[in-house]
Amino acid sequence: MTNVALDIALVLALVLGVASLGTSRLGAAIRYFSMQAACVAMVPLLIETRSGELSVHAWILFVATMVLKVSGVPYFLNRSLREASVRTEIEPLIGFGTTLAIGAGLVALSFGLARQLPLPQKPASDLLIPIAFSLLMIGLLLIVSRTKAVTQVVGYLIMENGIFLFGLILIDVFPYLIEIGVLLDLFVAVFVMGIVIFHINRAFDHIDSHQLDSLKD
Amino acid sequence: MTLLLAAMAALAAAAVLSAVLASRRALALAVSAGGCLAALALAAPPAVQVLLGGGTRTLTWTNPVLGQQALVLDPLAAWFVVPTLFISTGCAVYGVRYLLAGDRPVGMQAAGTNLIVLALLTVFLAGDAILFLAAWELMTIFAFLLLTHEHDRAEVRRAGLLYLVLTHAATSCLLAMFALLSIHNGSLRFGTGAALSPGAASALFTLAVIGFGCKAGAWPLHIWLPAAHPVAPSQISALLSGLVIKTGIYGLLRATLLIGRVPMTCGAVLLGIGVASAVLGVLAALAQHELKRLLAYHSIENIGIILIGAGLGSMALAAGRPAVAAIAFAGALLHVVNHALFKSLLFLSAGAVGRACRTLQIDRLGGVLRAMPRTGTSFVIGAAAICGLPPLNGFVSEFLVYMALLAACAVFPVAGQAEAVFAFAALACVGGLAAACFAKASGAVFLGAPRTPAASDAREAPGAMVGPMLALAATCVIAGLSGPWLLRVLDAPVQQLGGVSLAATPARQGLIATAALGAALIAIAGAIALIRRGLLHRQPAESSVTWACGYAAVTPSMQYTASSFARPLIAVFRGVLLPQRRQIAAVAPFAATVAVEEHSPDPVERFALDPALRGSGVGLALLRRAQPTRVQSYVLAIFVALIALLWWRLG
Amino acid sequence: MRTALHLAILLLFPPLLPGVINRVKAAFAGRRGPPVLQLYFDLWKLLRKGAVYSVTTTWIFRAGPVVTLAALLVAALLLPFGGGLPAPAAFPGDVVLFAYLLGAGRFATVLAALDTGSSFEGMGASREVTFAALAEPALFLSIAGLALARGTLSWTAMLSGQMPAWHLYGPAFAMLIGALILVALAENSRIPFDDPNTHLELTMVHEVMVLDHSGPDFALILYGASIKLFLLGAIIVRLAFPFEASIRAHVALFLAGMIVFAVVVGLVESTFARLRMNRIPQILIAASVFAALAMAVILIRVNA
Repeated sequence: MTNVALDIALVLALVLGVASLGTSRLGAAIRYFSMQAACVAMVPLLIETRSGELSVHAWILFVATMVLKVSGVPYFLNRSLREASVRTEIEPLIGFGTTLAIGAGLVALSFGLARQLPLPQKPASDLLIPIAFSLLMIGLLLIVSRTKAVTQVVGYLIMENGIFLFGLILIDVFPYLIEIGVLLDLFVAVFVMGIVIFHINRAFDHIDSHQLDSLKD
Repeated sequence: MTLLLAAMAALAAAAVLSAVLASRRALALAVSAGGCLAALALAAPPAVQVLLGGGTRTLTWTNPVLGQQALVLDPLAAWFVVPTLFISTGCAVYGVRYLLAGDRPVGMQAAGTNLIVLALLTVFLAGDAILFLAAWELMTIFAFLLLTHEHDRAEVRRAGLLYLVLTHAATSCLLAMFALLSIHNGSLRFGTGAALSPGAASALFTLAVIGFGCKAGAWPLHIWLPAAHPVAPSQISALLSGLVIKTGIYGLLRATLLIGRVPMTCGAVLLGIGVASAVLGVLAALAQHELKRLLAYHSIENIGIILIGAGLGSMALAAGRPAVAAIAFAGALLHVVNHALFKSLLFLSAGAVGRACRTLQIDRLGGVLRAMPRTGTSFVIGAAAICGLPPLNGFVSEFLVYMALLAACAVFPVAGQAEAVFAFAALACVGGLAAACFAKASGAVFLGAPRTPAASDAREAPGAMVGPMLALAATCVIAGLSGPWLLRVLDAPVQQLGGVSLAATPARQGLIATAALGAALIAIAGAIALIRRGLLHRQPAESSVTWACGYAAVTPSMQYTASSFARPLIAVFRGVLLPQRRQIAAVAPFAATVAVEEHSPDPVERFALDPALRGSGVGLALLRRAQPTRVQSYVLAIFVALIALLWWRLG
Repeated sequence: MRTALHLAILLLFPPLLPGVINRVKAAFAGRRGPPVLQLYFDLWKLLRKGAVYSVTTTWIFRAGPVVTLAALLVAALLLPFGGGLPAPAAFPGDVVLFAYLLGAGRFATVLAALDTGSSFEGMGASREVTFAALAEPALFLSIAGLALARGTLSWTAMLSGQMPAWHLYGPAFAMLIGALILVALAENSRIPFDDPNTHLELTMVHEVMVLDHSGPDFALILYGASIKLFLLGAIIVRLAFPFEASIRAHVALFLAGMIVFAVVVGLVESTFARLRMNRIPQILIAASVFAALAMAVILIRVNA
């Protein structure tokens, strides 16, 4: 039964990632990320349930993720959206349909790559590595194909979700402290980005990251 | 074998006779058609026998210069010979009235038709590399001569030249392939299964794919095809699209037999080329505004479907799955014949429309079905067949390809599985797009109201032109319903390619059941039609104008055009098609000129061929400047070369 | 016996579904709505009426509804209805024939629409072929996913005894159901792809294609449309209710499932807005992507 639950959590994370590629509404993208973070946060718990005991570490990590990634980060992003008063990604660099198709190709690639990867030990689920890879790729694609800074932040966050899953291969040896440190870093990063977005908006009256190009040199 | 030789002799005699009689146009064309008919009567029985009974017929002789040569009629050759005979006869009969309506000399067409059929037969029957290449070259040249019938038009000359240059360049790959193969085998005779190393096999296969793929019109070597087919006389377009490009497929299949064990990657690449040809071919077809050009792009699509089958078959053989290979090859082989049938049917009916309306611009036609009911009905049947709709023949072969892909998903190694799934989805999309494209073509040309006077003045084509069309249309329907019989005739060539009988695969039940359900579809449709007639019998049906949502002053020009019809799909795929749009927008009310024009030139032509031609022009100009002017310097060059050669051999 | 029951359900049950959908929508809008059996009454009335034909039309126009309905009826012979009624005709590869029969029906309808020469019907036909071409990969990928997971190429075998498969491929099947629901809504011209109740020809897809049909022809079209909805629903329902039971319970479960399907469609129609035309391709691509994701998951599991 936990196997099925683990499958559902992982696949849901992937589906939400793909959904964030297809949406033009920034609010929806943030919502998808937050739900994805919740799915991802469940994964270590589900893995540990299968092997028996639930450690205190796992609970701490779960609670920290829920507080920071599932509620904290989206809160700040939504706030900066409100401040900047943008709601939709109007002119993406690559169209939504095309991004979706490319995303599907990247997911297929990830599933292929994951098979080639030599691993120190068998992962808890055969979907763990492919989906971790997929989230990495989807995050990168989102950063590459969109112009609004908020979407790019979401892309970065989705990548982080992928990295988090990736770390779970080594769940036995991986010190949770590091993961929690990463989480805090992430939170601070988003906090800073929120402020930056707000200031870009104040200065330029929009949040197109395009405009930052003129700052080079 | 005697009958085959007699057929070839009949073709040659008819060619000579029609060339002699060239000044009496009708007689020359009739002799030419008679020659094709005689060849059909003589050569079809032995070919069908070989298909039904298996086995091989061989005729060998010793040539004092080239050694042993042979004509071999094996099942694979027979599979290509039968449609060649049948369709060329139809085209030749059609050509009589078609060419007489024009005012150009017809001697070349009459003799050339016989000769190209002769060359085609020789290509299929050749048992050694020299004979094969000689016939191959002759076929190319005759095709060039036939398609440049209207050689006083510049675009015709350009298309002919493009065809000649590209196929010649590709033939050099074939020369290299056969030379390498004969070095390995120690003989120019075609054997089977040379024990090659994987590297050598891959190299040979690559040469074969380039050489034969260009003739077949596989992407990206297809660019000659959409240029050449529209400018040729229609029965020649039919012959080119139905038969000549199939020699490329025949060559590829023959090459896989000669090479023996084709590595998995090679099959995968062929499958990839097939998917690219199918998808890009049908997308380009969707964007065309001229009927014959649209049909030409559909040839690329269908060659793609055939290549998907052939590539998958090679992959399955390499993976040790002969049952999958048998289904895949059966699909490819059957689609060769099916495409030959419906594509020649479509070209013939398009030609009849072109003759009657003096244009093939889709958006200038309309409502032609009322004036030309038999031509129009033939076209609609051909259109439904090429979309692979049951119960027509196109469905049966596509069904086999789909089935092979699904079976491959289950048994291939991982990378192959992923590719098979991708090809499956792509083929599904191709099916939908083809249906869209032919709904556009048959809708805009044959249905609705005539858009121009040219279309409303159309008259039905004469019987000698309609006859071959109706025969081909009937064959499309019958072939779609004859699954169990196809199982028998397909068995020998499939065994030759895949090594397993088709009857031992799940395709057997599939073929029988699709035929039965196709018949059921026709029966149920008939029953519903009877019920409908019974219901309408009581009340007489009324006639009125088309409901235009209350608007009364409707004119035919207000109909949805073919361009608008295809527009949403072109918009979705604009990233691939790169349409170019020119628009004169209305700036004020009652603007005098408002126009919009959208063309999608072939990306390969735009981004590869044209720059390459420009580049080579610059390069050749440089070379010309470097050309020496004195005779002595030429002799010096020869002298230096001689010394170098001597040094190399003796030093 | 089972075949007779299969045919009886096929011929008599489908017109109930639009009635249920309309009742659900009416309930949501606070109206009473038309009777559940309204479509049966409509069909009966239309069958007894005469027909009017446009002067531009040919035999294509008259053949359109006939061929469409015949193709759908033959397609129905390939589909099992729930776990209790296997398909009267089942063979390896019938999944492909099924999809192509739907395509044949669509082609006939589109040609009939173009035969009228009306710009409105041309527009509807254009949209229909566009959306169908984009829905095709989603349908075929779903079929391929099911075929791979169940190791068979036939609907009957694919949709029977699938409980164990759900344990292994649960999330993948859930995604396939999602993709199939999108395909079913698009193929049947329902919200969010098309509004069957719209009153402006410019915004119609399917309805505008059949504007010129009248009398028995129109009855055939309405009947065919309900059968198409029924067929795609039957696949989804069996996939979503994979339980095993006695035959009688199976039939009851299936019919109840179909009603639930109609209610769900009604709920979707009541709560979702119709999409802008240029958003529709994107949703259909998304359906294909979900089917492809399901396929990736299935491939991983099959090879494990």
